[in-house]
Amino acid sequence: MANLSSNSHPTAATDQSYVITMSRWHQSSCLTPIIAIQSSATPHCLSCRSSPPKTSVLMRGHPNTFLQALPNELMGNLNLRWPPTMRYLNSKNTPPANWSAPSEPGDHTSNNAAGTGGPHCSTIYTRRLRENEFRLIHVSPSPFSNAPLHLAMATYLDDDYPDYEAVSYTWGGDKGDSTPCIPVFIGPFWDILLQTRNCAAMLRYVRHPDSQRPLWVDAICINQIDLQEKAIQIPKMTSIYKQCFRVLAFLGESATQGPQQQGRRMFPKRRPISDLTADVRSQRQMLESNYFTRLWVIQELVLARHVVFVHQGVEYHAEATSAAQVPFDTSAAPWLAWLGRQSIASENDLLGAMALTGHANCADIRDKLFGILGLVHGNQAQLMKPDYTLSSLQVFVGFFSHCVVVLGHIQRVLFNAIGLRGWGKQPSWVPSWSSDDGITLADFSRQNYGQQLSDMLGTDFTSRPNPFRHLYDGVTDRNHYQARRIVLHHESDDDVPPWSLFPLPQQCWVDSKNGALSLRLVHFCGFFNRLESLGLHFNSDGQQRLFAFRAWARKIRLDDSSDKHHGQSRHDRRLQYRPRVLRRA
Amino acid sequence: MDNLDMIADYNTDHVFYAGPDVPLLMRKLNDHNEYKVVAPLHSVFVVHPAPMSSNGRKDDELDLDISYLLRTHSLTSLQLSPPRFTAGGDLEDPYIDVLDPLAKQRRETRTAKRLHRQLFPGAPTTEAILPVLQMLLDGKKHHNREQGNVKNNYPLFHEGFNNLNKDFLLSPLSTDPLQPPAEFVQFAFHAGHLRYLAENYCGALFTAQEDPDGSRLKEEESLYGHSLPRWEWQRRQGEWLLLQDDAGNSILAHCPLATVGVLDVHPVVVRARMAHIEFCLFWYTWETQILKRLGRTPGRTSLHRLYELTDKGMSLQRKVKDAVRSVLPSRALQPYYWPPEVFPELGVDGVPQHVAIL
Repeated sequence: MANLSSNSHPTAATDQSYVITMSRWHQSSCLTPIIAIQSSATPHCLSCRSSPPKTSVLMRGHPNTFLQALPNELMGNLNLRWPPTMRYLNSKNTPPANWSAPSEPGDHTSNNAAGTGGPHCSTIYTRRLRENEFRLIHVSPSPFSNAPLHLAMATYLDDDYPDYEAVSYTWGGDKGDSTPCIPVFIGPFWDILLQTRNCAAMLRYVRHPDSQRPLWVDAICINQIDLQEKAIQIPKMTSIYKQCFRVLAFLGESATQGPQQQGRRMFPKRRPISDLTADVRSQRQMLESNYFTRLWVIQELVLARHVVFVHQGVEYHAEATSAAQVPFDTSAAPWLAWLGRQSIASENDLLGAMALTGHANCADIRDKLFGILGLVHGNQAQLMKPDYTLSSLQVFVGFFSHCVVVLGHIQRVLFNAIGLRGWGKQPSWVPSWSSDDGITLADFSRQNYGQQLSDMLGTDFTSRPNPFRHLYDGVTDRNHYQARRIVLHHESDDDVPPWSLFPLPQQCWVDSKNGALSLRLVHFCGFFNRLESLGLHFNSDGQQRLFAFRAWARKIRLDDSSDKHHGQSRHDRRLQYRPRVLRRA
Repeated sequence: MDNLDMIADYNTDHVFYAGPDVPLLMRKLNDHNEYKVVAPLHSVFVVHPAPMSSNGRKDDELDLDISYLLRTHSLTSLQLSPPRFTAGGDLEDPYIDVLDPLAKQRRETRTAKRLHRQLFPGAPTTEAILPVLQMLLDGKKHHNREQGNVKNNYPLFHEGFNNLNKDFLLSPLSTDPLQPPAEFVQFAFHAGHLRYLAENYCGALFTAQEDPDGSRLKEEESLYGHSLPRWEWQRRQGEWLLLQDDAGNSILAHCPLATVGVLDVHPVVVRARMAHIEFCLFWYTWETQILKRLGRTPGRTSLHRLYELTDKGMSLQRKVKDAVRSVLPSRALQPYYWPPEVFPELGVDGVPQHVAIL
């Protein structure tokens, strides 16, 4: 039998923040509330004759808990300690005498400090969930659309739960308003939990007129202010979305409503997803919804067995087989091609998954990593458990350290290093993860940067028009000069990524204080004179910037191709091209 | 001012390579080998005088690769076949069995293409290349069979080369880079040399028709003994790389042209693994020489790539890997390496060094 522990006898709030974020509005002596709905669609307790305060009062001084972010540490005092697979060094650039290779997956030897958790008890969330538990809400029925939203909350064991639906939606909705400002009433005391407008609209949509509806809604079923509970429950979202009988994709209030209101119907029309392909305009309109730009929905739809898209008053049903017949891969949301497939990358390819989803948006930048861990099979993702007590700097420097030191993806990470753009904000060897840039993790093995230049430079530029003639400006007799691309030969192979051809560096480590990556690199040359800017070259792959310096009788040409989107999805490539900007240190 | 111009304000920037095709522009922060990445680069070019051939052809004509050499020098007639043996263990006429390379291609297209990409980066897969690749593949197959001690199943290594263009093979040390040096063709396919390799690296030798009683084998053994010589690549006369033993005797000295004669070489049957080693040594030598004569960077040649293949356990047994390791200078086995003589005037050292990137 399910461990049903509804919040019928909540304890008193244990933290002052409860007063701000969740409110019990009864008299303290009221033990048996009798709730009636007033004509103004607000609840009223007939037992203690109390009414909830106005929303504006509840919101006064209330920080946006959904957007809280820990401040990043100062460079030089990063205190890196995550993920557990990493072993950082504390001494500057000097490995200890007993330094050894990075720990193997499964070796939890690092000190992964647990978060303090913060306030976690309230009249709504009476206790922190155990590791084998999760919550569901039961949306109370109402035939009136303007009736206040009331939910009952219950806790279940992971292997003992009723059939439920999981909801996929965005907190901010179409307008991106993530402010919790709509009261949702919980339990027999009708305790108030503020939710965003879009969440409230979703709850109104799913509310049945005559029966309860069990749902899993992340903003409510996880105590968002309890960091420890979040750290446990967010990895469990993988199984929560896998084991629900279907996922309801709520695209937003405006996208949900059809051209004709649903007044004549109690329930929406239901159609197979293939009907969307018949109506290209409708499909495009649906996919252009803000909903599909959000990161968490990727996981929710990829993991689901059965998805229902609510669009213009119609529910489109999809699962892996039927979704495969829709050409999502050429749509604005190409990752929908993975709908129902449970994964979007090969085993342990976290970098690949991040490259695919890096431009998706999320309120908490750390979720760009935490939100995709469930989409990658393999032990690496399992070992990398979310820890919301870490700053984004600690999370991403830790993650890329893991990629370099443990997985050996040195080239792939350094190929996307932020360089001087990250001066003072992050180590220069780490790719950017800022919300402006997105996470660009171009796979150099598929791009063959410079090959086109190399090919063109090798052609007979004396007899044919050559777009690179200007490269030879300043050379005395350009017909007797040639440019050769300097590359350590490697061949990309469909099956064998080039970095796998090279052995894992034997001495490679990251300093926990300053994030310095110590490793062996091949020194090609230094230069001691002024660079010449050779201008830009545009080709089908994007923009290439060339510059050079003189070294004795020869010149070194450096090609700085800023096209970071090549090789990514078409959707990503639609994004505006951002040229690399090198700032003075 | 262009943002990149700002870089020129600093005189402490360096180019490092983090791996194939991943150059980094880095700024030196102090004398403790601490750097910051300025920006990842995507290509580094060197513009320098083009080598001129004796007949005055320009660089674009000299910028060749091995596949072009194969395509243009009658190597399309190359035909290889595995040897056949009679019931008594004698070698059948090797020239009868002419392999259909296209049939092989159809069977092994995927593997062949992959191998081709490993050996000939950037070169198109052509019919000219495939037979050569097929020989390697055959070697792999036969090597596998060898585990079952089926000693008759060894690939015939060279006989198809009898169809090579005589002028091409016998030309002296031409200054025309289009022509591979004759010495190296002979070097690679000289029976004695193969035996020398086999003796020292495989510890076993397969007798062939030209040595039915084993007398030549004994002679070789008395000459070289069973100790493994310390071989090393040495530059000679500023241009050629020769393989030398401890005594300083080059292989070419052991195998003078007058006594070898490519067309006089008898069919040589070696173990499959020796075919791999020898063939890759041949390619390494040839490729290196051609590249050097063209002024190009030898970089990671076919032998390096073979080493990578073996390192992945894809094809060859450990013995072969060890053999390759013993031939290559140790520095060449670094993951990333340029020979120090590449662009010496630029201060290129090509040596991995430990840096801390902040």
